[in-house]
Amino acid sequence: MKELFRIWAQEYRNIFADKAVLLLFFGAVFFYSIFYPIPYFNEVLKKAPVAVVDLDHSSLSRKLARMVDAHESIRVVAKPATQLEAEQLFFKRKIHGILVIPHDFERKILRKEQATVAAYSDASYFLIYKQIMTGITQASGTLSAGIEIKRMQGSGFSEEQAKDARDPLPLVSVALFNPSGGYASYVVPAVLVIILQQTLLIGIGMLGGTAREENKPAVLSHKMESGNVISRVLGKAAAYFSIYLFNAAYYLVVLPRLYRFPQRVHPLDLALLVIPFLLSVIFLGLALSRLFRHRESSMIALLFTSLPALFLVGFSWPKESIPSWLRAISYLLPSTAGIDGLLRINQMGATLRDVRFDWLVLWGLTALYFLLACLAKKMFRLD
Amino acid sequence: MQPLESKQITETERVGFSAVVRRELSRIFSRRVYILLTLILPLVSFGIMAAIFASGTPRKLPIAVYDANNSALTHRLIRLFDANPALHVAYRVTDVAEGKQLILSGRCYALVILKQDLERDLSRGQGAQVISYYDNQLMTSGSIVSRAIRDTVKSVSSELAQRSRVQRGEMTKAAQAHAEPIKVESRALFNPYLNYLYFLVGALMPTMLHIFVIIVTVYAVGIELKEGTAREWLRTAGGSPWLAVAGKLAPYTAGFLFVGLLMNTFLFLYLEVPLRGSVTLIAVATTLLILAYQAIAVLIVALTSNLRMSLSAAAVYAAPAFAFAGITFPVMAMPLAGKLWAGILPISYYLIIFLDQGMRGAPVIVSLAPLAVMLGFVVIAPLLAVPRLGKLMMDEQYWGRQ
Repeated sequence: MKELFRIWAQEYRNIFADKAVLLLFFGAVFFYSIFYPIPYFNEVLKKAPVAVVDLDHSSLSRKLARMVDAHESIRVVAKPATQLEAEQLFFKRKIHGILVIPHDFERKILRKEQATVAAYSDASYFLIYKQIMTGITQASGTLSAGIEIKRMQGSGFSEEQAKDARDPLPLVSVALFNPSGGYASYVVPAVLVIILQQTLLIGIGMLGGTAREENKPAVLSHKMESGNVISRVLGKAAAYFSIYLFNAAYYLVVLPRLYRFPQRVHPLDLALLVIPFLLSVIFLGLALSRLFRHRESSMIALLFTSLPALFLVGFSWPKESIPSWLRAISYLLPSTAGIDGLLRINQMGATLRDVRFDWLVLWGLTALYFLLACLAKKMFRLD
Repeated sequence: MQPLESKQITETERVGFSAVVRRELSRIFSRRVYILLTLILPLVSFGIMAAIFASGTPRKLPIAVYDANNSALTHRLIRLFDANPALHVAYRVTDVAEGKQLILSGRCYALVILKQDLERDLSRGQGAQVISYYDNQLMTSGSIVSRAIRDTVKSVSSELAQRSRVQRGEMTKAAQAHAEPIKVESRALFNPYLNYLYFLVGALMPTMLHIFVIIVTVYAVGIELKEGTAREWLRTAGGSPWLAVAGKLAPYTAGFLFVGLLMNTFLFLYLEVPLRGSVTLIAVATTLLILAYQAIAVLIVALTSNLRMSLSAAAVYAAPAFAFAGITFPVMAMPLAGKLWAGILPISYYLIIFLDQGMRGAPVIVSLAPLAVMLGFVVIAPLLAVPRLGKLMMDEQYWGRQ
């Protein structure tokens, strides 16, 4: 036990004596917390540029164009005379959608026939596509409904009845957890957890690599370093854990408030999930650090893993659609269960009971990587 | 193994570009990290990305239904939900709380509530409605599921509306026209089936590639300073920092070009991402992407003059690039700082060319401007970097810094 505290204190000295590790554990953690959310600062895409090709030139077609322009997700920036002209604007990226109103638009409506308008939207960017389609469909839907209700009123319906008759089975759709569909609220909480994991793994690897670089001739002194493997692993882990509890509090409690992400957290449940998450990352880091022979090795080896790790979580791409073999392997990364569980507890208001699967996976990883870390340390001593 | 003496002799005899290339090749084969990061891991990461999105469009996403009405109408609705390719009615719950718990624990993405008097309200013509709660924290899945539910309910609703019109005695054709005076015929341009594979994997693979290019280059150059071999490197180049840098990076350029070629072959031939524009332009852009990030990597080392700091700087520059490049969240919606940062990332321009000449089949002319910017990175970064790097190579105070 005394041994453990000695190593714990020694590891603090190693961390605070190493500018690079400090820069990573504190500098990078702070810097990324401000830098990463920048692109998503506005949360939603508003007023995506579209063109209206009005071949009808009627008061009704102009009304439709005005209603499209008034919709919050799109704005009409051009009214080219022909579709060809609109296409050119499209390729120049001046517009991302086109609404074509045919020449017989108003006449058909007056004759009580169905008029068709064509909407083209840029599906090479999904978010733009979604906003433009929503905008055009809703705007013309509103106009269409107004016309229909007026017609029905003409044949003796009350407004209420007309509404009921044209849509007898309406759908009330309620968006849970992120009602406004904010993009920062969607992406940033998950990315923050990845940053915690990656800085911790790289930092532990850097300390390990440095030790190996410096101690190459001093394997002996390691052997003389009495005490068992377990207290060495636990002592180091305690140092990282205590520091990252603060970082986790900053990332999971302070930042969501600062950025006004939806938050419905049960604090105790959050804490109980953070513990196995941090421990599994730390022990994984200690196990991996055995592989790093140089100070910079961990950064080189781990930097590219952030993106695949993020997409394996199943928050941006449904986990049901990831092949099951890959899904199974991905649970070896603490981020897979960690992000899923933390999002549910921190953003969605789940309880620990709801995420008990994630919680158990993280404890399983903690045990597994603890054993591997001990083995790695043991091998190191026998070097 | 050659005897040491003869090696020294050849080195003093031969200096210049090819000598630096030979020196670099022997360095590459002396540590596995180089081949791992230049050839193997990029390909592995491409494979992982492709495997994640292999299905293209999410199908059979689980939803829960609470059917309190248990009527012919609700049974039909449930059948139709299940028949929608995006949905799978995985749970039939007996109260709302149970359904919400399924969403919270991640076992389904939506709960559809079919209330007790649904059929009766419908026949009375008032107050009938279907309620759906969907998970919008996991926005991709949430919006796919909610759209599928909306389409299903809407089709049933308009069918019912039309039936009652026919019952009122309207002619079928007139009834149809009445149903919706304005019909929107919508087209998803370039990617009609909204395939995520085309949309995401096509952008993620070059993003992964650029991370490897910048890391390998920073490492290969920076390690010469850290290990104090920079002067010897410069001497092999006959004292010219330009030859030193060119000769050193050439083997990696070749390796990454090979990986880039495999990447594009994989994307366009195997994954069948649409290639509607100029193949040549995409090939040129991929080449410029590699050269630009090599150049920027050298600039980073020259500015920080220290391996570890330059790795950190490269990490800041390259790791969050996907977010700034505007594929998922478009650049036009970013604040000014985001737009500016996107502007100094060659990957942003690459992805514009990639989309224009790939999926969009845009005319060549629109890709010339972004291509010119990429070329600008390739030309300007070395002009800033190499002279300064040349000084660092000679100056021992920069060596061995941690």
